[in-house]
Amino acid sequence: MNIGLAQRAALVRRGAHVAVVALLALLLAQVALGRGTADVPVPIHHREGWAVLNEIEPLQKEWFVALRPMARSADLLVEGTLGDVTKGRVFGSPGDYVYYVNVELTISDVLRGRPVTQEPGSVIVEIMLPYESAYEAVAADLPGTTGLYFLRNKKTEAASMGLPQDVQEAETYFYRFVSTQGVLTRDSASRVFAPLAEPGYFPFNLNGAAYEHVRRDTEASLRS
Amino acid sequence: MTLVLVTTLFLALGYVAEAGNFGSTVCGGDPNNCVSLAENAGHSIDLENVTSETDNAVRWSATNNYDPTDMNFSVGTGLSNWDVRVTDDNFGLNNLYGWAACPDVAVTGGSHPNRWCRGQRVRFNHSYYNEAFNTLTKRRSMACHEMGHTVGLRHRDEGCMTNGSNFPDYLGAHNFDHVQANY
Repeated sequence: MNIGLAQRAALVRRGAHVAVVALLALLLAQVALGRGTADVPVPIHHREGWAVLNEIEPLQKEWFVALRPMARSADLLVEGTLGDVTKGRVFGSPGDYVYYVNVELTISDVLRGRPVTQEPGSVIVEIMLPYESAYEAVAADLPGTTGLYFLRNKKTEAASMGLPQDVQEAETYFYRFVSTQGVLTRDSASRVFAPLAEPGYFPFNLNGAAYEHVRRDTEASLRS
Repeated sequence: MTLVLVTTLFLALGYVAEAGNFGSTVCGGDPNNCVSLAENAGHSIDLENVTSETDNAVRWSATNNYDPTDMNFSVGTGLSNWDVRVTDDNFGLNNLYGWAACPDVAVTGGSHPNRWCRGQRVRFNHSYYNEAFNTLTKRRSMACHEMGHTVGLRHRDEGCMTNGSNFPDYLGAHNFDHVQANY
């Protein structure tokens, strides 16, 4: 069958439209699946509980340019899994409170430091919420997150700042991430995802890297 | 094919994010920033129960960092209609010297990268007073940095918008130009 140029062009255009629509449908289906169903866990990348922790724009005391200095700076560097999230301390004053949660971190391997803990095998990581109602999402989504956690002990920090002894003692069992850079999670594909990383800065560049490779690099950075 | 499409979208978003350090971004999305623009060039700052040191630093920054731009900052206490409310307190050892946020109760408009927020909050964390607030220059730098976030500036290794503990108290030409171009 002979068809003219105009008809051929129309067919090509129609084919292209069909292809685009099919692609978008496929993409939407994948995104929908990615948001999770009863059978498919929500990927870390899409968990609201991590996302809400980014709802502030901070200026941080500790800031790292690479893995090595961050690893060597940590008071405690572990591989582990986040567990129960409970409401924690409240700072500030009426009308301007800041809310924290306590997150239990079960340790599977200690790469650096010695855990200060009341419960052998786990430590408490204290995380500030951007606002009080963020608790629900954080409590729902952080548990089960496995990865490398670079931690600062708050008593150690308080001591280094010369804060009063009673203040230091109150911080004994609390840890924080050394910075928003100190969370390198392992996703379901065994790739790294840094849920609090800032684009353009370390460790955003590690997103998608093989988790085991980054873990080996971390261990190596502690030896060299 | 889908992977290619997703990758293309990701790269496109990434390109937009890295093209400059001005503009609002999806809070907690990808990229992970949370910066909002001011509603307009008139930017009203309410100081709520802050120390005289914070009061002076914010006023200094408004006058010296932002009034030279096309923006018009007004700073006061007990304001009923404000764009940004500033507080300072001991907020705990959380590694944060200060932060800006657009709370869920704020008024917003526009869409990214031009989403503005009226009712932003800036907090200076005096738990780190001896590290970040114990000199005039540090306090001015902190004010310059956080006020910058409230007008749409993200981090950049220049002037007061830099990450880390350097504490420059000037805006820098690139940041200045961004503000000029958008208000």
